[in-house]
Amino acid sequence: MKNMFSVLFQDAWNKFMIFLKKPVWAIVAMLPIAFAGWMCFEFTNYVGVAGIDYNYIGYSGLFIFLFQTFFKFIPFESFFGFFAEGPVLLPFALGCLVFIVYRLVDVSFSKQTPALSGMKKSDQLASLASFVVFEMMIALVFVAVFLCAAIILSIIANVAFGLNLIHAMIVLVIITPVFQLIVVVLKQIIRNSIVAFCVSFSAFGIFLVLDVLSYYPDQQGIFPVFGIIHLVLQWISPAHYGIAGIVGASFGAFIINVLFLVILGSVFGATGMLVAGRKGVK
Amino acid sequence: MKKIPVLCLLLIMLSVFTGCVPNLEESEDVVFLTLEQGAFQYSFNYYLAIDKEIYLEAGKRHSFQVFKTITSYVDERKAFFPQLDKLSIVVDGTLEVTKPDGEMIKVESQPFTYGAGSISDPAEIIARRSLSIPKLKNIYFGDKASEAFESYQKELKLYEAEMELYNREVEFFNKAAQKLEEKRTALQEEYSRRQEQNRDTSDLEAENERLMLQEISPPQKPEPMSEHRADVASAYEIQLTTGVYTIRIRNKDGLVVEGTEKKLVCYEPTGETLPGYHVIPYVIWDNHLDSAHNYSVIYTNSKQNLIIRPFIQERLPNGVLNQSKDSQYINQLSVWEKIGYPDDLLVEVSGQGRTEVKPLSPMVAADTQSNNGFTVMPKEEAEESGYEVLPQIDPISAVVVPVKDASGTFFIRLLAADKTEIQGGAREIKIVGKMDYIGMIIISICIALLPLMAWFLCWFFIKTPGKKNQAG
Repeated sequence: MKNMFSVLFQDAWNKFMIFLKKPVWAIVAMLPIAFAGWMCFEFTNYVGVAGIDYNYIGYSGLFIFLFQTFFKFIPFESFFGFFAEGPVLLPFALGCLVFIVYRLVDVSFSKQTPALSGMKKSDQLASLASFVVFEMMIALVFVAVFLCAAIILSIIANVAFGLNLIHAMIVLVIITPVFQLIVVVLKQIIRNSIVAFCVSFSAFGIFLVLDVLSYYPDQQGIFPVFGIIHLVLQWISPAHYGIAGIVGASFGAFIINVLFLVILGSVFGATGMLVAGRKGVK
Repeated sequence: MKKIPVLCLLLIMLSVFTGCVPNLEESEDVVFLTLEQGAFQYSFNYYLAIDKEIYLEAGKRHSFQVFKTITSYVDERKAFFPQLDKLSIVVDGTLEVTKPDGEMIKVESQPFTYGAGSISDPAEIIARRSLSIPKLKNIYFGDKASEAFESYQKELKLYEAEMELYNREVEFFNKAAQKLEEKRTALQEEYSRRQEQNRDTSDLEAENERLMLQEISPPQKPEPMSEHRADVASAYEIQLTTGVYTIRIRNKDGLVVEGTEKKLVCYEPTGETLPGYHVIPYVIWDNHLDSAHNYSVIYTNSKQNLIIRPFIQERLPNGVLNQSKDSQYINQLSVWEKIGYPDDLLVEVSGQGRTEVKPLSPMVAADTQSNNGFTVMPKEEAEESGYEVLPQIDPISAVVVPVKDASGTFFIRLLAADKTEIQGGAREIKIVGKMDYIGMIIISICIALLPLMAWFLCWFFIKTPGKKNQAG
């Protein structure tokens, strides 16, 4: 058993080393970090005698763009939640989008993704487990680089990055493989990378739309089902810890959150193997 | 087979984009205007026909006024609001309240009025950006409503007469003061002239003394009315215990009024409290800024000291605020309602290498500089420096955190009188500076190069694993 895990880990590690030597991940990580730097200093420029002065929105390029754009979709108080601790959480949330889209593209069109059909069940499990570990490692690199940048920024500009950011980072590491597993399963079902990408990307888009809509302050004119969606999404959305900055998730809730994600990931993995196994038998 | 997932997705997208679009048009609607005696005492809560549930605090006396009026979508608040300034028709009749066990209580509409005073807490004034919004004080039903309104009208007439007298006295005072000033000026000129000519000024000095004795005092302004009462209208009075009820209204003809059938949830307060802070700039308080939760970091630019005023919030049961029209502006996620301000606590302030425990001390509002703000300062300082204290605004209990010209981070903790820490009262106060655009761009680019540097190190030091290893 121990030997099997070490083999799995070694396989994921080897793929990870190859991945690290390609510059694409660094370029992808640069975008949110540059944005975080800009955001951080824009934020400090808007701090008045007692906190950030939102009355002056409209005098700065980035803030006017962000606020006017976001206020159309998210209520002011939800958006304010992003800044409750400091200015780093919002760039991280947006960076998560960039990162997940990048991983979706990469997994959809890469030939390295596990081809499950025709394998024995034990090999399928090993292949998927190795894939999950590999994706987690990539997410960890993104998180580590962003965390370093956040620490440097927090020292230079004396801003807090807070517990919500740390929560969001851990959730990202767990949620990314879940999305990638969807792609792997879809690729097995549809056997077409472009369609798999389109479907998974649309699913991701719908996930985001539902996520944002479920945070609307009032359900007037919106189907009450969004209340239920909100209850579900709050456990699996990395953005939850940003949007719901005002909630301040407790440690107990966080543990349940992680457990939920692990169970969700296992369900996806099991479904994937079942589907792929059946197709393989055929 | 391949088309099925795509079709499913299209269907989901269609349902999302058609189902979630709110109806933004004006429409006639039934509105419940509830006046509550409790944590919401400043609020009028609207409940529209579209809302199926109404939440009220159990055990307290509530009044229900039911209108038919026009509602329209307010984009800023992303919700429908009644336009009470437009034609509103009071829905009169019988309110039928069905208890959980099936027993029905019938409440007849009766004459009703409410008494409201002006807001005197500075935080409420700042939050609402107006001095004119009323604060609910009392509700009157039946004969008491008529009596209250009649007595209010009498008081109002009396007050108006007093004000008229006062205005005349002020006019007289201004004229007398002007004449006195003219006499003094003339006397001063004559005094200077005589002194230049070395003539006797004793009679002028005597005259001056006589004028000094004539000093008139300004008239006393009559005390403002403590309570303003609205015209008598019809409303339903209810006071229920905890539970879930169903309600509906029958008009005088015995027919159920469309849109009035609702679920009424009477809830008990949770009793779960959490401290928060108003963050008040020392110079002028004109912006509503709170640090409501323990992860709300307080930022400042160190140009002035900060005044920190603690308040206590209570968590409302989940879902209560979702339906409250007055609270939706807050957010469905905010379930904490401000319930009061402590004045006997201590605040521990650490920073710049020292720690100090300060009691909450009285601060007064003085020297209004604009319609929306005022200077807040310690009472002694206002008295010493001769600032005009605004009597219509209540003093607050707060502490001054000396962040002026400081740098780094301060920490505050809220302590009980016996110096035990109050959970949820710890905060960071971070002092930040400004940066110009060139500095922002340079630092942002330098930090953004971090992943590239990491990639370069990986590229330089990591050996590509052999194919043997990859096979696993």
